Amino acid sequence: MMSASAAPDRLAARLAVQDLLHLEARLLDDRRFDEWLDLFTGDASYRLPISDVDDPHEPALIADDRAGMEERVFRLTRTLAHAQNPPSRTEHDVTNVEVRELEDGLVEVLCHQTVHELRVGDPFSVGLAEPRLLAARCRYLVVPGEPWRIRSKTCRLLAREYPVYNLTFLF
Amino acid sequence: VPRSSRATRPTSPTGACDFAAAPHVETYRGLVFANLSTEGEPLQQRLATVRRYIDAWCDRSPEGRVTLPVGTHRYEYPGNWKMQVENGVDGYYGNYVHESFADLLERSGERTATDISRTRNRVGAKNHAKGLPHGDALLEREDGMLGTFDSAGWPEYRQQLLDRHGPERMQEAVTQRNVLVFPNLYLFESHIRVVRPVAVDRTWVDVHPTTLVGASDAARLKEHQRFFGPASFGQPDDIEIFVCAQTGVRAGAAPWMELSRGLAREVVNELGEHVGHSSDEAPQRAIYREWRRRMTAQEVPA
Repeated sequence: MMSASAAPDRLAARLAVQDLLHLEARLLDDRRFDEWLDLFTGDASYRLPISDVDDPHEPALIADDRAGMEERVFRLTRTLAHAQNPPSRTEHDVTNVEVRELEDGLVEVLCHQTVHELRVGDPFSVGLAEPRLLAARCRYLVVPGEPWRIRSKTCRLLAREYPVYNLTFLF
Repeated sequence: VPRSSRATRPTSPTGACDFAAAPHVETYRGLVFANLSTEGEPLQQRLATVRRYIDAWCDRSPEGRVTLPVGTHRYEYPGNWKMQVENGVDGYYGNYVHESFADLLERSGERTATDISRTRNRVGAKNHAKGLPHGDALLEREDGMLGTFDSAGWPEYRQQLLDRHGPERMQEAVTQRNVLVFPNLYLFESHIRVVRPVAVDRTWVDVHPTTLVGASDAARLKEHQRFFGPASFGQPDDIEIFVCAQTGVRAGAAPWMELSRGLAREVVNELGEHVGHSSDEAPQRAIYREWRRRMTAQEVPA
């Protein structure tokens, strides 16, 4: 049985997490990548593993520490990255959110994310005007506070061990 | 092959799988080659002119052994498989296609864009693009392995190679080489790559990162992953260009693709290699000579 005082705390945590996830989705879809970086802690990580075990010796689609994330955003915002010319238009949907407070004060968030992606252009150009849908199960570790920040984001794509066409937008 | 329940072994009273055997299976330096045809030359003969480069690739390990202990990066693109085959031995396009990656190296202080361009354009004893017999090909540059080896561990690694191989062989081993074994096997500094045609306009590529046995290369996979793989900062820009080229080859009004760069200065050496400047298209010409020979079953002058 939950104590009377725990329920409002749990509700507050859930609302804070939902706000954070929705804000993240909006910043990504608005291509406000520098602000997206600000949602993360200084020791953050961002990972899209291929294997089911979190082993740093296994190849991953993405295995960024904070410096890697900053490099990724720099590439997207300040260089001529052909794979993002024209850029991806995205819609991030977040569902099945579960929130669990851990003993060390961190909050674990499990959720599903689907990303709709489209690169706008002449339909006769191969690779453009072809909508894609990528689904993943994601796990976040979040640090409560003012504001709440993301310590880690790990997403496992549904089709992670199969060949992937360029995935150069931020998932 | 992605694991599935269909991949479980069939059982038979003898415990044998009773699969049909490939007519020819041979190995060279740990690489396994299976030939499903009853025809074709023996492996030693097939590899005779490319073997020296496979040897140098293996000798990057202080123990002379390269292994594949980890998983695979797989990517696909809506384009023809030969785009990827041509690309791996192309030393011309980098300054344009990988401008973004050069900017990243400049930002991190690892290398200036001018340095990178100078490395690409240098003329030297080990800066070549080569078309080999059998349609094999290679691109070689003197000071390679940058971006695929932890720069902090580099001095120790060089010393290991020096102790094992001596100065001349060490220099040979650390020369950057992308080696194509026609038609679809690549040996790169950090990985083995297999190009798999799925349809005329659809290609899968398997990238298997390697470990150099005996070398302490903790950061090597990380560096590899920074440039290769579908979400990296290098390879996707190549793939975008393949896809643009795939759009281009649909244009019926211009049916020819020109691969003439460096044709006039290409020389054939004593090994039968067509040698060009590292930015020339000697490798691509070798690939297509062999491709035409096989597709038309008619001898084409070398």
